[in-house]
Amino acid sequence: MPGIIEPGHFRFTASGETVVRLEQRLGYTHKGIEGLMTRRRSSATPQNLPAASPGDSTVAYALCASREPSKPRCSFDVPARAVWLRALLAELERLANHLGDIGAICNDASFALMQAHCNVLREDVLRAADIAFGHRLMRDVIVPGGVARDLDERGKRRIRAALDNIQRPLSRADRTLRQHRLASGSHRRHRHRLARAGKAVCRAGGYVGRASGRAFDARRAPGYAPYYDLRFDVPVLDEGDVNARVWIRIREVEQSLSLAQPDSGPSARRRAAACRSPSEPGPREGMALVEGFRGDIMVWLRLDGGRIERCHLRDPSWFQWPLLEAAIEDNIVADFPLCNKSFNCSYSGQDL
Amino acid sequence: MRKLLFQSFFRAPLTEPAPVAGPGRRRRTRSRCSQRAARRRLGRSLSIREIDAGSCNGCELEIHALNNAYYDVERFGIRFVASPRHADVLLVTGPVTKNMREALKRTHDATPGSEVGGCIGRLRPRRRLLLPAATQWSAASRRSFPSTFTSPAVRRHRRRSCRHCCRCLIGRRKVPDPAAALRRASQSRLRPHFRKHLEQISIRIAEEQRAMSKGLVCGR
Repeated sequence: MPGIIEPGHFRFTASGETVVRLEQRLGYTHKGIEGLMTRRRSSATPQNLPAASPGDSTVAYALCASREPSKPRCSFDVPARAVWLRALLAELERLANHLGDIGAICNDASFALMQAHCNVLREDVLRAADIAFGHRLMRDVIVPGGVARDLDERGKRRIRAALDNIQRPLSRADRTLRQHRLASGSHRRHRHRLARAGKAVCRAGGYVGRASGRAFDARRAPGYAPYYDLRFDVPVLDEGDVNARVWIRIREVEQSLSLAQPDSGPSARRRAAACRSPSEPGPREGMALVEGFRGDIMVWLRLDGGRIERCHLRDPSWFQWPLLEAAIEDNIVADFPLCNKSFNCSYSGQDL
Repeated sequence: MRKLLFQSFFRAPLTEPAPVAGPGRRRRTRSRCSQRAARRRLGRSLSIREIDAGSCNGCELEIHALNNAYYDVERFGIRFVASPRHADVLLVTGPVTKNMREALKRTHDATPGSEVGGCIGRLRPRRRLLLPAATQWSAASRRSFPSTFTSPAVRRHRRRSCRHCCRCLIGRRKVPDPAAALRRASQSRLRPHFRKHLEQISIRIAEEQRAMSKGLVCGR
């Protein structure tokens, strides 16, 4: 549907059809989240506000804000089942967002059929999440100390059904995309090449980095539980164009499908935990890095008792927005929507 | 590709039937002459311009979902347009941040009917789990953002111009349910012509529903 997007100001300097320069002016969705977090009293848990920063990666933010920080002084005792459930939630979110993105990019390249199919798959995942966790986007499921609700049999069944449903259409979509390389892919392939210099300066993570040869994944490199014990590949391509970013997403969907197994995981003998953040006296501090669907999200918190003294939320889009400016240079204005969609940077996560 | 198209001849459509009309709505939509007036004024469709005034992008994702094969909101004549000049109503998401205030006002002025049809956002915590913090993102809440970047003038503007508010779209079971939203909308203090129009559309949904149940229209 046209025009249902977040607000931003893009100022193009064009010479004929060619874009000489693009300036992005963001900040329209600035809500003052960091200020609000510090003003919040102990009655509210701190993970709630970051979870509302960008609504599309709410699970990743909640996980990042409530993950056990590396300092032993503020470690919570998170049950093994809750750790596993958090990973399941994160993978479901990644799946849903990537499916939506693949469809939307194809639609911008005039391949509307693919979007129709991808949106159906995305809706299946969201509905399964709704039944399993009581929320379509899985907001407020991850809380400090664990998760707010456990996965029951019905939810498990629905998730399994949704994931099984994705396998076949995905391989079909894979084939169709390969066949149509010449039709729609040709201009997807040969344009929007990311300057290597820009990439090196910005150190972009996520699909933007991985599509231009930077093999960084926060699940792998610093790593966090339960990904230490899980086997998965980090797909990397060198082209750095729109086509590469689509294929990275498709490969990541495959990896997420293999990771999200609702049947495996530790048993529910021990309660999956619904404990609140322990309000120990004295100042504590922690930082966590979590791989969201866009890339690595960083949250830094300094707590004083139950209150947040200072905080910082760093969205992966911080590193990706400047690269979009670099990628659109020497391209045509008409290709900007396609290129923008393939980056899919967050406005709300950047503006805070 | 050919295979995909070929399959669509045999597979039943995924689109789900419209939600069932409740008894309350029937009672309200009885007035025939008001329906005629609404049809004269706005025709049988509704064009909506969506404005993100600082939302978290969750509302946008869910509004996008309205267009997927399951919900297919266009069959009810509801269309999202790319310009306020093409729109009958505006749909505002987010708390109306300071930086979006001017843009929202201009958009509002550019809309022919000059009517904000609805605001989407979380009004108040519905369950225990939804902590008060989450209510900060409410577009609809009259008390939201007491201290930060929404100025009193914005709140006044919002109060004056928003006739209909619905709760946070995100995560509710029956979220992309146009009939329910319209039902709520027609209960609220809208301008008369707009209320009539919404009633008209909800009647259409009910008619379609009845036709489907009789097997007149190809549905699932």
